[in-house]
Amino acid sequence: MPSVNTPEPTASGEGNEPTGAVTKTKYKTNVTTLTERIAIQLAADGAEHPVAAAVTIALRGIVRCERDDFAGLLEIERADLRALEAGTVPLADLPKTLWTLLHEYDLQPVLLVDLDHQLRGC
Amino acid sequence: MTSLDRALLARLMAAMAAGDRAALFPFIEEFGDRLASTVRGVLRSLNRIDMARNQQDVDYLVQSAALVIFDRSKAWDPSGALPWTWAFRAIRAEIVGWLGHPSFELIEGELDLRDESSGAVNFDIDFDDLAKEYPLVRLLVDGAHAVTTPRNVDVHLQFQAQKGMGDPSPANTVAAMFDLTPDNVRQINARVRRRLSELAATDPTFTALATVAWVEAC
Repeated sequence: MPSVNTPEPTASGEGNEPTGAVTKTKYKTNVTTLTERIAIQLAADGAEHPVAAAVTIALRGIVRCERDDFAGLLEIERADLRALEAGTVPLADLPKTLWTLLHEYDLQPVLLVDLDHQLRGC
Repeated sequence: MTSLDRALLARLMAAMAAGDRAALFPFIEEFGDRLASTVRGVLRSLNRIDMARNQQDVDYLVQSAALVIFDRSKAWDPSGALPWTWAFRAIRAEIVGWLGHPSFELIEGELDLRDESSGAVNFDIDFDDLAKEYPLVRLLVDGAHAVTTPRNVDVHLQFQAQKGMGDPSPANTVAAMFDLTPDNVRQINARVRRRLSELAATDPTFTALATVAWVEAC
């Protein structure tokens, strides 16, 4: 596996709530950093496309769905969702509905694409 | 701090125990304030007030704490301590590792209990482990269990350990570990010290406890 720097603590996107803030009893973390950290773990576990897997897992967690419900939300088969979470699908081939959610929930695509390149040694 | 939803906590911990990393997101969203309190307590105990005040650093360490709990979630008992209390030592070690701070957290300087032949350096304090090696620690742990509850034993021993390591506010650190107030911690510590002192004076089995600095001084 190529060597990748562990993500540094960063603020969330401009105009968003600051990370570490507690709003209406909910804690707001930097979801991009957490997704990157999960991707690095998945890469260490041998996933072929760890960033795509981490993004899928992250969004399912953020919207708090079980796998069946999340597959329904994305309008894909459950087996396809399993493949996404297992890291067998490239980031570029993520369903459009996932990209829409990615933008909606403050995940920063540029950072994730960059990490994808680093982890796959591109 | 809001009241804690134990049913939700148990559900999320069960999902993490099943290996579902997606549960990390709601776990942090729901309990991140508790994790942040723990993280800040550790940073303060290490005199890193600068980092304790930096939201980005704290948030990063909140995630680290959640990942530490995720890794250990299979062993968590829902009827036991809260996850961030249960995994406190591992969380603290993770933070210390991230800071790159040397962690010579030995207590023998205060207790003078070290076996000179050992020479081993411990990087975290586990009194049960120490008790296997040092008879006086065994006696101290047994004595504490004879006079108070298991939770209060932990509170007392962690308080004395933090104090021995030079923590400027051990009551705050231990309060964060056990979800107590600093006043509670001080009261528990004082009560256990007094009872240990009485035990050392009245029970021949525990006479040697009078040589422990904080028991003798009571």
